[in-house]
Amino acid sequence: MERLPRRNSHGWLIALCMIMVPLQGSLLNLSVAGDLRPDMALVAVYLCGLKLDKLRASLCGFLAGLMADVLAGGMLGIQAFSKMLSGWVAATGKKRFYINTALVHWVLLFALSIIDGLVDALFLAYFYSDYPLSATLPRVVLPQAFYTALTGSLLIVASEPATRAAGTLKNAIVQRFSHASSRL
Amino acid sequence: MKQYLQRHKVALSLLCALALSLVWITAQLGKEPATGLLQQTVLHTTTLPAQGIISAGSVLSRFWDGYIDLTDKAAENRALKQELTAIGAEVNRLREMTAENERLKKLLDMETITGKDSIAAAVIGRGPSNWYNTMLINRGLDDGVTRDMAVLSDGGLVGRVAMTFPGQSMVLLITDPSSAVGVTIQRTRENCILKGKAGGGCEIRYLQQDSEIQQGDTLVTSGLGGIYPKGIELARVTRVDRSSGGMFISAQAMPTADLRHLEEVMLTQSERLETGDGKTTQKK
Repeated sequence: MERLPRRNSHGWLIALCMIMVPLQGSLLNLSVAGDLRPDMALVAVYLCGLKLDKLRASLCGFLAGLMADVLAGGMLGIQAFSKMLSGWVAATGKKRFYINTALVHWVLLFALSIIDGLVDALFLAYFYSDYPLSATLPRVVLPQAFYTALTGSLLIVASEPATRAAGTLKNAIVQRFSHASSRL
Repeated sequence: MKQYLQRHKVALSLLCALALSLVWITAQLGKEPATGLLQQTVLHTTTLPAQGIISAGSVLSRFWDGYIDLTDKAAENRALKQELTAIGAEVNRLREMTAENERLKKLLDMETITGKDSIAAAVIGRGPSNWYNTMLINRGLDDGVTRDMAVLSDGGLVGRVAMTFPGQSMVLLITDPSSAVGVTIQRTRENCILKGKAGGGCEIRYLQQDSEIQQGDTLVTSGLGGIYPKGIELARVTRVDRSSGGMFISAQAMPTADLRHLEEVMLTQSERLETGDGKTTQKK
């Protein structure tokens, strides 16, 4: 009996989105001057956008954003919406703009982080007087976008050899198993 | 109709999500921060694995070091190196203990200000977002922590408890844009407000143009408002700008406590507080 091909669910990407948020507050607390950190959850959402369809990428973004809202003690729903939008934008834009180079990753991550930050900033400016756009745009949105794009693109490029090696290993194991089962 | 819905399902889903988010956010306006089941579940499920990953990381790192030693060196060299490593680790451990001891001693010294009922807590995480300056500590409702308790470190005031859960609490740092602390300039005794600033640091509000504030002045809590104890050092003035032309001076300040590298903090309630000379006792 011929086996049906397995669908690649990319469940690890969803797990990555979920784990990146608490890690960002503990192990990956890469804060620099001004207390800003790269948004590693957004990098994970960007990866989801590249690998998954629009609906799944949006869902990953929503889950990562909701987790960020809860763990940051902020108003629930703000980052959930902005990250969901980021997942959708990444999944929509990949066909048109995506080429696998560090520079393209940097530009796309920068643009995505600007969109994500702008949505957050607009929500916060609308609901709170403590977050005027004149202060948040230069002090949070722009530096965060720059730092996220830099860290994210470097990480993606650096992790490619490891991803390739893992793929090769997986293929070798699958081949060995199929070879053994055909002999049986 | 069905075809239209099918064709635009993603855009419609996003619109629905936006509408739901707006309703959700609007429903939270003007209410106390929620500490419901969702927050508790996420906190429980994330803090434990995060601590586990940190431990696993150090175990893996030790395992890798051991492997390099085994393959690289001759037996005698290895033994000597191990001995040296052990001594180094011991020295490092002792150094860490000395540093921890120093920090704890400074925290204990604060008992003269905070009273004996204060609660010591360890910092277990920072808020993952750049929009809010918060941190998570390992003491909660079960340990007697209540909302609005003042949080202090060896460097001075850190913030206040914003949300409490059974085993953890969320601390709102003084650098958060929604934080406002009533302060007194130690040298001139003028009162003003210290507000957190988006992107880090603090700004001084409502200080009149004839104020004698200078760069380097120390700010201490005024005790007004009832949340924070009086006379606790919390920030130093870094920039004063009198050219704004308005009614008030524009001035910036930086916290005296190193908020990025906090490890232990002390929690205390305003009503138990006494000043350094032991006179004032505030009631919330």
